[in-house]
Amino acid sequence: MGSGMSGLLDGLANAALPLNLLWALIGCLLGTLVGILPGLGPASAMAILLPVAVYMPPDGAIIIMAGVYYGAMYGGSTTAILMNIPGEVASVVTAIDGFAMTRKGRAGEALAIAAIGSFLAGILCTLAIALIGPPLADLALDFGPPEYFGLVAFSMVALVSFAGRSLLLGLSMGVLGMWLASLGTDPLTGTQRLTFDNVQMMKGIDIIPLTVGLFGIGEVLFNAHARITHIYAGQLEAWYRMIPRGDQLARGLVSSLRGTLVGGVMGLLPGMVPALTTYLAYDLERKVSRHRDEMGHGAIEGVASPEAANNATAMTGFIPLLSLGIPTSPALAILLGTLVMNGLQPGPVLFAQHSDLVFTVIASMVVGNAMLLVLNLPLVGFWARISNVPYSVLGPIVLAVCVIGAYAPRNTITDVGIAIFFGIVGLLMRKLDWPMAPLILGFLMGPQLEQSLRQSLGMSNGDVTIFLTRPITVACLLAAATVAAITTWMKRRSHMIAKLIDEGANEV
Amino acid sequence: MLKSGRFLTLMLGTVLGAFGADEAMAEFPNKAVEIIVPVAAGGATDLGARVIAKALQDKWKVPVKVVNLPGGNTVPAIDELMRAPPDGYKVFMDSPSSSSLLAHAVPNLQHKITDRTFVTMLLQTQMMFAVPANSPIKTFDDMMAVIKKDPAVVSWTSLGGTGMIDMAFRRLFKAAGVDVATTRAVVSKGGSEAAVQTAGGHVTIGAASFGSFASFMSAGKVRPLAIAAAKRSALAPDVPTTAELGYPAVLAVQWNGIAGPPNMAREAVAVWHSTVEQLLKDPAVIAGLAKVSIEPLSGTGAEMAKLIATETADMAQLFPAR
Repeated sequence: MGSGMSGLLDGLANAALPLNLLWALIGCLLGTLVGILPGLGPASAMAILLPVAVYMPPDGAIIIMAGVYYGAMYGGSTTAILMNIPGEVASVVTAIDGFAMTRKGRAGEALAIAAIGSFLAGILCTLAIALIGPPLADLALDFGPPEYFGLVAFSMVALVSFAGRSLLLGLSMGVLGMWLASLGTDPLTGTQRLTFDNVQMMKGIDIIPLTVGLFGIGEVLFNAHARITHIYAGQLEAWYRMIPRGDQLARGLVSSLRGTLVGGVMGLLPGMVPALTTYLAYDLERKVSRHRDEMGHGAIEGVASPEAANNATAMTGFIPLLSLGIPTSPALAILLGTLVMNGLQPGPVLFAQHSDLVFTVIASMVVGNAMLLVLNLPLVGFWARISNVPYSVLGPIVLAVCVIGAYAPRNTITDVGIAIFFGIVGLLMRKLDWPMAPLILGFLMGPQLEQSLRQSLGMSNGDVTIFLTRPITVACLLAAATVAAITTWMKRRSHMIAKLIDEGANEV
Repeated sequence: MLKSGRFLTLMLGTVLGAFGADEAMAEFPNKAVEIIVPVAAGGATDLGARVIAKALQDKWKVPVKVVNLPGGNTVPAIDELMRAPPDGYKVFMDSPSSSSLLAHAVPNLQHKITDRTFVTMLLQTQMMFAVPANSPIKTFDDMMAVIKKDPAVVSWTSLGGTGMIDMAFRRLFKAAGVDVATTRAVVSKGGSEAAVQTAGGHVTIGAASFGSFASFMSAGKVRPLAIAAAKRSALAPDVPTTAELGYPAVLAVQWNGIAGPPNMAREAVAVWHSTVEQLLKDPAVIAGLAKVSIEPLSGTGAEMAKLIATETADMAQLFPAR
């Protein structure tokens, strides 16, 4: 690679060219838009753009695609905070405290800290890509199946944080999520699981119709059922008064930094999609934040940390992508496609042979993130007013968007049916006060756990001691056991803390 | 997770359909064409389809759209094809996974493989054997020696039983005189994941397409040993073939062809085949395919049917029924 800092400065000069600025702007706007619409995530938008990108100059094509990618990461939180409807899967966690803040009339504050946290993560991770990027990419290779098994086993401890009032119920929801994820065609051997010879069931349940149903349709149905007229009926202030200040800003920034670290490191690993790292970042806040007692009831940390983690994961995913050609998420797989179609084969050679282009793209991320902040902060006031819109107007619009969102990813009407089914399930779960976040977490972790376990045993010929001979795996398993033990001990030890854990958990 | 151009396609199709109604009798093609790709956007098959789609669009002057219908072992995508009108406006990106290897992966298929119309051959990708850069195995012969010495410690990248990568390995183990059941198959979801496992040193031997390995080769993370083919690839001219090394039976070529719905109109089949044959000779198309590590493969629908029949018979031998 060219020397990091000077390369980045050259790149900034290129990224600031009017045409490149325009591509970044279009990408960011488009990304924010699809991020806001439930169901339409970055990967759908990028797949739609892929044919267009073939006709564009390489730097323009990659800048616009990257803009859509992180724009969507940004936009997904807006509806999560305002309506308790995650615009994309990674915002499920943000909805917990974000929506609680909206109901207290603090929507603007939540939106602003989401934007600020994302910006902070975006800038820090862009610098990380430029300055220390390529050597870090090897982490993606060092993590083999046994290491993933350890990591996912550790992540399962986070389930407790999202369990709600009953640990048993929370864990059951997590297991239910894993079970739902296992339906359809076994991704490794092609064996059919509970498909009953139905062609549509062979594809299994996709995460998008599931979240759109549970959160989007479920929320609209619940609000209609509860005869909610407005999400927040009180008066809202001007946008610049909504920006967090003083103590709140400080708390948000500290959480954002922690979220950036969690999300940034996890982003280097394939399969650690933002949705999963936001859970881990939130879990960390619940353990280390000085205001953990407020978590779940509208704590600014509950928005800042997952949003920063989300964006950090999205950003550092570029490191293994550019230096080794390893896409860490479906959206990045499409970006990889854009690169190779333009004749750019990722690898160390890419940094050497096309350093202009690589650094232009990296610099455009700095520009894009700044653009998103400038665009979004003034818009906070506008968005926040959505919480004042009569629900009789808002509800039907959201419902329509949900249906489109469920259809789009896989082009099948079956997914719309699945979304409506889970919408009714979501309504029931809300009525019974069952937590939904653990279900999504289980759904995300289940396939990872299964695959890494099977692959590890394939490597060792069925010998389970493989998990005890790999240092990273052992460390992860020990950490998981320690955290689980401490949490249990604390619960038993102090009634008060136990009460806090129960009450502090999400109420989604 | 989610991919689609279908929405756009549907809208475009509706608009263009309204214009095209008067000319329904005109020659094929006079309205938007759809290529169903049974895998997610971004992979080699998808990118190959997109290069071809763009070239067809320039030639035919009608929109040619790639529609991704991933998942379910390609069966739901095939189902979509079988229900399409046989006019050639909706076709399918066929491959061994959705034809010769499919019956083994999914035992009770709704449609017979031979029910669809085989239109034309299109593309090929060669499979390559490679080892981690720090492996003691330096050459193909080293690898054969290791396999023969103690097959029980040899782990390799499988895609779960069927698929070209597994075909390559089964032929390799057969050539070494080793029972595949005694070796360690590490199953992953796709060729790119198999390449990552190899580069990370988590398996003894890896196989994947040249494209999946390309980045790791340039990064010096893997050592290519051989291409499972009869002729060297233009994309990796330095890598020897299994045939040169004395193992001509260790072959595995991942091909793509176009298939249509049952009884597809003859005129449409003819136009498809002749246009594709022209495109595959076009240097711009060849260069576009080379960027995504794919090579052209010309052949008629009849040749495609024959290839599938041969492979299916071979499958029965290599993969005993489960």
